[in-house]
Amino acid sequence: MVAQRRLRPLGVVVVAGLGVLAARLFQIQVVEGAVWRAQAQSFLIDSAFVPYHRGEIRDRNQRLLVGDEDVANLEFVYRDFRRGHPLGQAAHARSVILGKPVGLAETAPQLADTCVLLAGLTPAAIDAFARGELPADSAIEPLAPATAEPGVEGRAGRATDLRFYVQKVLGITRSELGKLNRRIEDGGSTLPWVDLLAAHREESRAALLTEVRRRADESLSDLRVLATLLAEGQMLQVRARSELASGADGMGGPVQGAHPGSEPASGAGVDPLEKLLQLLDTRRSDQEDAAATELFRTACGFSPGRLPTEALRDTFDLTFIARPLRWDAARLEQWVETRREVWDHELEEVALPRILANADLGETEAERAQRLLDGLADLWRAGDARRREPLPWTDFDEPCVLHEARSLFRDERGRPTGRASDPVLTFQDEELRDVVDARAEEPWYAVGLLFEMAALRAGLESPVAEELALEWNKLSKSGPGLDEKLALQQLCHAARAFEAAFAGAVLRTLGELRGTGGPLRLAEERLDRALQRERFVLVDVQGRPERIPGSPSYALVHLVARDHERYAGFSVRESTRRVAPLVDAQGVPCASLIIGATRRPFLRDLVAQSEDERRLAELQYRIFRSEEERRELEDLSARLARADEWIGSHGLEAWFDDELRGKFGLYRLKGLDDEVSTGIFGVTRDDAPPILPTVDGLEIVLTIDASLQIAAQDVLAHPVPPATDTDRIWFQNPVGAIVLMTPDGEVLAAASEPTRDGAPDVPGRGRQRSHAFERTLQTPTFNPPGSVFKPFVSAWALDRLHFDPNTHFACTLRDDGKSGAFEDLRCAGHHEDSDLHRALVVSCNAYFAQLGLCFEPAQLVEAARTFGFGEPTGARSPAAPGRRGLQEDWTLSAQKTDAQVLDQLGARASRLRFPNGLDLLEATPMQVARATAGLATGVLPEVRLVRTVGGVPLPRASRPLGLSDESLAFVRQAMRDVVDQPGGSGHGKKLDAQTLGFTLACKTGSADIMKIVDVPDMPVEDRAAGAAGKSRKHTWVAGWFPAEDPVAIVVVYLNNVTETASRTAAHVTAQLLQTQAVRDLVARKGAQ
Amino acid sequence: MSETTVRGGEGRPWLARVVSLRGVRWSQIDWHVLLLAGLLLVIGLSFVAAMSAADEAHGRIDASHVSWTSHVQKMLVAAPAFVLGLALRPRWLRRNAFAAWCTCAALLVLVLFAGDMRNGSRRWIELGAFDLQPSELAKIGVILGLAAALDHLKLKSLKEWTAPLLLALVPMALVALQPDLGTSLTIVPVTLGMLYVAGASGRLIVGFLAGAAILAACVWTFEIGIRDYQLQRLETWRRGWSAPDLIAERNSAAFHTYHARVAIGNGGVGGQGLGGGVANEGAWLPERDCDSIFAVVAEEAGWVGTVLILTLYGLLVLSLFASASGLRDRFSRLVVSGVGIFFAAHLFIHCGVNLGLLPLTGLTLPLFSTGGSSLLTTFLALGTAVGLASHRQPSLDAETFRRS
Repeated sequence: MVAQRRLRPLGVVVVAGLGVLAARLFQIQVVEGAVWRAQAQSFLIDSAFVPYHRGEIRDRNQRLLVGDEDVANLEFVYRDFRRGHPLGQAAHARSVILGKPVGLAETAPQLADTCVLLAGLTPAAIDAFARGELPADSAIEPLAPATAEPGVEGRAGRATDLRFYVQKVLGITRSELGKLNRRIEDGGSTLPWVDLLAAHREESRAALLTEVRRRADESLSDLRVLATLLAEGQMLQVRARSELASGADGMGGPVQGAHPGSEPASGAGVDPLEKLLQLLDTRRSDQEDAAATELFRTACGFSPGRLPTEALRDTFDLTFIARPLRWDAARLEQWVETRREVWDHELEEVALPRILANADLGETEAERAQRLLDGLADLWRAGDARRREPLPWTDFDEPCVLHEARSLFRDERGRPTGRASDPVLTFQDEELRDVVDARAEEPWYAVGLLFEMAALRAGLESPVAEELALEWNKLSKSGPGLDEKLALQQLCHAARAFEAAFAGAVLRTLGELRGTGGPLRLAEERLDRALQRERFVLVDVQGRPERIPGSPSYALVHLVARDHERYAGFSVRESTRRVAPLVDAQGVPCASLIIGATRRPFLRDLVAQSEDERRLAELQYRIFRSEEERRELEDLSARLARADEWIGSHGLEAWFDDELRGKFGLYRLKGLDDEVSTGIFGVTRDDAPPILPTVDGLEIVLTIDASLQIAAQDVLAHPVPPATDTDRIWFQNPVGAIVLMTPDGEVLAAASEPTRDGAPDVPGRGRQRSHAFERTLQTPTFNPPGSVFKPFVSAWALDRLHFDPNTHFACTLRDDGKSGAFEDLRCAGHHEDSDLHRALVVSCNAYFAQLGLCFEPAQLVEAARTFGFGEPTGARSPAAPGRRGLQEDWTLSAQKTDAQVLDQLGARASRLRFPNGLDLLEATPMQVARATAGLATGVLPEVRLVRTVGGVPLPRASRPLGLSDESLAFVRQAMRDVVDQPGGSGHGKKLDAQTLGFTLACKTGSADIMKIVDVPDMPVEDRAAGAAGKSRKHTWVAGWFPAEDPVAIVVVYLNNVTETASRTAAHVTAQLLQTQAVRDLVARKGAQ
Repeated sequence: MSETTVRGGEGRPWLARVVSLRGVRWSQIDWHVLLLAGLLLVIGLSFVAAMSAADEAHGRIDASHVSWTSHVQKMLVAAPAFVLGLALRPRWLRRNAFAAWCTCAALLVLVLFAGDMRNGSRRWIELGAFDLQPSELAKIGVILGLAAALDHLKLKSLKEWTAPLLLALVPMALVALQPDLGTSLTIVPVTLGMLYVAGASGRLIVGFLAGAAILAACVWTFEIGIRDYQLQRLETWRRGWSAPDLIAERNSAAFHTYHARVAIGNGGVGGQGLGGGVANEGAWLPERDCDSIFAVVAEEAGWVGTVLILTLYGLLVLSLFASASGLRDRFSRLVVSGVGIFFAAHLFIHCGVNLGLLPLTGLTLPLFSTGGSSLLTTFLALGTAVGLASHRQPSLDAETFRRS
């Protein structure tokens, strides 16, 4: 009874305990069940964003100018290759036997023999290998000596891998394996695997071995075909070893950690297969390096690159890394030696730019400086303390490595006795913090002071704190902000100083811990952490698909997609690329400068949206979403730019980026083992409806006519000079623009030259030739319109000032006996006494100088404004906050405000020059074209580059000039006579109706800008022509055709020529108007 | 065959004096204990078979994949230990209990020097086909040693507490040195339980437990005498009570706890079916065939199935207690009740850890988990308990427990 009395309470405790367990189980499984089920579901059901097609851009005739093209990318998954390809199986089987990496290139020559050897192994031999004993059969014995420490060598795990590879080499199916295992249990363990399989399949051993050999040989032949196709498509690009840790992906990626003896081959004449195998070996090596780094980081809490190489090698017992990766000492050493270099690369290419980008997000100078220092301090902060958002640098306590060192090692000798008293980094210096606090109103002073002190501590040269502060202040305020090269250089310099102090302290501390003994073993808990990751890390790293750079040929895509099982590891994925199918004679895409381009998002943009990205990921993997969360997911998915997404960089691509961008679809994918693919070759999307459907971008139809645009581009790229009296150097190195526009403002062509960066400058003529620039809407240099402004002044004077066109003004002959002038304003020729009509026809500057004196300053400005100068043309329509990328210069003067212009027009000299388009007023070719359209029609249209967006027409707008028909008719007639009347500035320039087939009304203009500078390497032709000291000018032709019933406005603008428009721009205009595209345009109008 | 007969067998061969199947009282065997144990063993086997099938189906070939064949092989190797325990002669066992304790202690010392280092611990002695884990055997050694000591003690004075405490603390310390905190901790409830059964004051034991709890709280609060990683485990455990916190830390320190919780929670009321849970599908749950097998069971059996299994387990423990209470011989009673407490301690610690009631530590669930030494110990303990219990005689009076 006593026994029962004693045991009953224990029984009660047991029952109560069971009750507690059941209750807790109920809480988890029932009360919190939905939470955990959702988590579990997220393991099994994955989702992926499916890219959209960016909207197409078409010309007014629906011809495709830019669009997304479906392309195939070749991807490689090393894990699949290792498990599925006989070469991968054989190489890795040899690796597990030898306990060191054996390369593919090294295995290939003996692939068939290795496969046969593996097939001949017995289960008993592999078991013996696992136990570290000498195997009973001879096949494995020479490769795997007996060992007294099978556990240390990881023999059991290696034997498991070996069994797998043997079974794969023999092609044993799952069902066969179960039966063979029973045979082995029944005493068949001493029979070779090949015999076991032969007995099971009732085939002969010889036939099976022949099959193994055949499969091995065929797999190599297949790889050779693949390698040849890759080589033909330039997809086997090899990088030099000097590009170590370049961070590039794909087959040509970094080569750090390549196996000894497997230096990537380079140069011509290398067998493609050999090259491919060496590159695959490099990929394997990189992935193993990454896995090793991950294991180290998991165990220690910091990256191995944080340690000086000798500290990593001498202080740490790294067997916990070598064993799971099957590395020998040489391979381990190779990894150790490259860690520091990889870290330096990551620091400079990834971490520091990110810090700068993050600092750039600060709204005030103080916030930017604070963010910069916080981010920098975070680089050395102990892992546990690091957060997504860096902590304030003033809270910096103890650097990483030194912090972790306290609990890093198992042995007592590996434990520091206390914390280091001396600050290692300047962030820890209390005095500095006080100084910075005292000067809080100078935010960049903190940066200067910390950087200076860090440099001094590291023994590096540095400017004083004030200078550094000034420099950073300047960097922060200038240009695009901190996210630029100069800032990065400065930050790198500072980071090196901090790193030097840190590395010194790490070396000292670890050296003291190590003493004279050997490497230290990590503490058990640290090893446990690594052990938990060990099983997954290599699978994870090797399972990541990597894109092989380059465009695979159809043959290559067909090969891999059709015979997928023969090319284990290789797969084809669907992707898109932006293409421009219409190109001019130079291969330049049609309207490329006005359409612009796409780019990947800037790091700054990605950093700025990082919080939203985290939220998006959270919502993406949530299984159950409320309606509100679904809307949030949709909004974030549409709004956020992805790192691999193409977004508009400049031009119309950027201006209409919101419309051109589509919406990524979010699709559920099937279970864990399904291939995560959205590709055309083997779609594995779940059948369930998408979480978010993919929405392609909107189509944009431009007003541009591709034929006219290409004609204009070709003419500008290859202008034909007249036989004499011209600027041949310009014709050889053209810089300029052409606008063709309908009279109601639709741009038919907007061409600029040059279209590619990098053409050599012409010495003495500025640097415009080397810059591809959109020049129809922008004025990169001082850009007066010259005499093409005269018709507008004339029309306004006739109407508003009631100026009598018969008024005569004199053009006084100058001392040179050739040119005329009024006061100090010269004419190109001597025009004696003219009325307004003649002055317009011959373009007499002296006349218009005197006409200018009839105007009040405000009236001159008003005349310009009536024709749309000093206001946007409307090309950037629809305007809305946030639109960017399409630049337009539209102010009266780039350098002066309107008030300053008005003020300066009070001066007589300016009033003489302004009506001649020579001073104060600047204009783009688009503005001149719009004004000319106004003159031709009496209505000033808003310029349009885009007709429809997503099928919806853009609204049009225009306003009447408010000038009388008589005034306009007078000027129009004068412009016809510019071409038709002898002495007209356009007469005899092949602009007449006989030559063109239609009439043209136009005005030429030449606006002097500066003198040609005499430089030693001036072109011979310029020197021979005595160009030095000659005026450099922009020359123009602005007009319309046919003169009597305008079909199109034409403006030709040549930048920086030495001869007048009648000798330069007029010839280019004639060349343009004689093109078939222009003739067709006129003919079409005539047919209507 | 009666004990009297055995006593009379002094002239028998040595082996016959140690074990005798003929000495087993088959008619008095607690068949319901064996039935319960057998049932639990079969259930455990089916879960391991499902794990093994899942690993094969997913092509998981690394060293830690679960092999049902290997588990069965180990079970077959360990099965004779059950027969050995069953056939042990009680008299011989009582006489040699301390020697058994010494042998276990010696093995614990030996493993510190000659053991195979794996995963940062020196716990195993390689014996060819079988790796012996002395700490598992030490649990039986402690039960036998304590039973032998307590057989003669009334636990009235402090002096009488010295021997049993030493018998428990020495193996605990040796196991902790390996280190193997989980196994070391199971010795505590076994010791306290056996002391209570032997007549120790319940209040004293409760007081001891309360003191230990206060001490642990102080150690945790003031971070004295505790390693960083232990502190981190405690922190992880504390935060693990909150589902959002646990989810937030799923990729760091709470990796193991998180995956155990997900697996258990995913089971719901009815379970995911054998082999159908994420624990087997994804295999992210570490040690899912041994230290975390309860999470797999809970996921695949659901709340109803798991409570049923817990009930069976509870019945097994209670049956052992019932068997013990019917024994007149104090030594046998202590051993059988010690085995019952051993099963109960494993059950509560293993399930408690997986359910987040206790901080993370590795401990198997007897009759379910894989692991040769664990199986060996379980079978030996069960065989010994059932064998000793079969020698029951009607209890005479209270003095059977409180010997003067």
